[in-house]
Amino acid sequence: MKLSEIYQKKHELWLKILFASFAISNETIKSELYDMAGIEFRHLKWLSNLLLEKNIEYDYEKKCIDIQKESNLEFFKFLRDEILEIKREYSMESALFMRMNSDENYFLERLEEFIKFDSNKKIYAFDRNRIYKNKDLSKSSTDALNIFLFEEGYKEYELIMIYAYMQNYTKNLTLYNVYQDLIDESMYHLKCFGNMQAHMGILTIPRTIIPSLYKQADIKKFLLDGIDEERAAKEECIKLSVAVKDKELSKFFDFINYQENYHIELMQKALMHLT
Amino acid sequence: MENVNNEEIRDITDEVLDHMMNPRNYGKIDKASGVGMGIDTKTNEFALIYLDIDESQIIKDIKFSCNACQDTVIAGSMFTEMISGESLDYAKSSASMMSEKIKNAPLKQQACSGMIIKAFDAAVLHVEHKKSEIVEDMCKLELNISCEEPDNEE
Repeated sequence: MKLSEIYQKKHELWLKILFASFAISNETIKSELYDMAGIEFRHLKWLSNLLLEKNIEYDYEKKCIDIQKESNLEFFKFLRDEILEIKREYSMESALFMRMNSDENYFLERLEEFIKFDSNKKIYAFDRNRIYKNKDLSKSSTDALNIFLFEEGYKEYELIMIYAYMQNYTKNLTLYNVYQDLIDESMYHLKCFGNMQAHMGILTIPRTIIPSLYKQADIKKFLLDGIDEERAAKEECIKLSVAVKDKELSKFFDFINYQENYHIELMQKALMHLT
Repeated sequence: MENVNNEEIRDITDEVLDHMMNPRNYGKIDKASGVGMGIDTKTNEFALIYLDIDESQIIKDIKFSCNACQDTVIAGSMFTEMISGESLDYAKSSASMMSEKIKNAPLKQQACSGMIIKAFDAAVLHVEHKKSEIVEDMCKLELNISCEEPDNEE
């Protein structure tokens, strides 16, 4: 398998483990899967560095991923089989592949443990119940919240991948650090929105990103448009915060809204350091 | 809890939710008969339609992708599912009917669904251009409305 194809498979694997962490309700396993996904994301980053060193083009194409599993057992087995499949493609001649192999050997052991001890639980993340427990949401408010979660969940995933791509291609340390901050911020938002989607039974893997969005010819324009988009996202958070007359949810959307302010600052900082 | 403005928010029926969770025909076709883009130049949001048409003018395959909001994904999923495997003539008349139908929808939905129709029209145009040996990667058509405009704008 070509290195660029391994990259695609690893991208898919990262998403599968990340979204499994949203779908599983056992808090200990959820947290462990989330950490595994974080390690997979670092593998992806190191692979993209290697691709760049070798001057090989890569992209974010991915297959249609079906994660709508009915039980923990089904999900754990699915992840185990996916890891086993990709591990066959690793060449053990490089430190990176040895590291990825070692990490995933451990993941496989953990998944076997999960299968032994927490396999009978039903998964509710895909049952389309659209109920936010202990919240009195009207139909229109539920619709608004669901649309927001779909749109912003996708947007956070898109931003993570775009900034990761730009980070790989920049030689400017300030820009590199700004992109890392923005990736970390979007990771947190994606985690929040993904867990909320799972809570309401509407969890899905985000759609594939169009290449022209990350293979940016004009980074300045991207950042300027991005600032406008952050402002629009702030508006959406404010609207939702007002609509959701629930103290806890309103506070959460206000909190996200204020975080968008600092994203704008970071993007303006990036603009100043563009050469 | 206070209701939000129903004019702005799409009513999520079971069918709509199904398209949100499992968008049909999302992706691209590498060797398409025609590729079209519908673009909102105010927001730079766009949709792409890829058509694979056989000699009998049947749509063998259709794919769409977009850089746009969820309404566009829903419209793209529903529209491509409706015309996949049908004749090009049927698809064209379906597109016209859909254009008429969305005229009464809130502006945001008009723009988002309109983007898919424009992308389809552009893909059909690309097929025709290819027959006339005009060389281009795709055809592009601009929307005459934008979801950025307020609903009450004259």
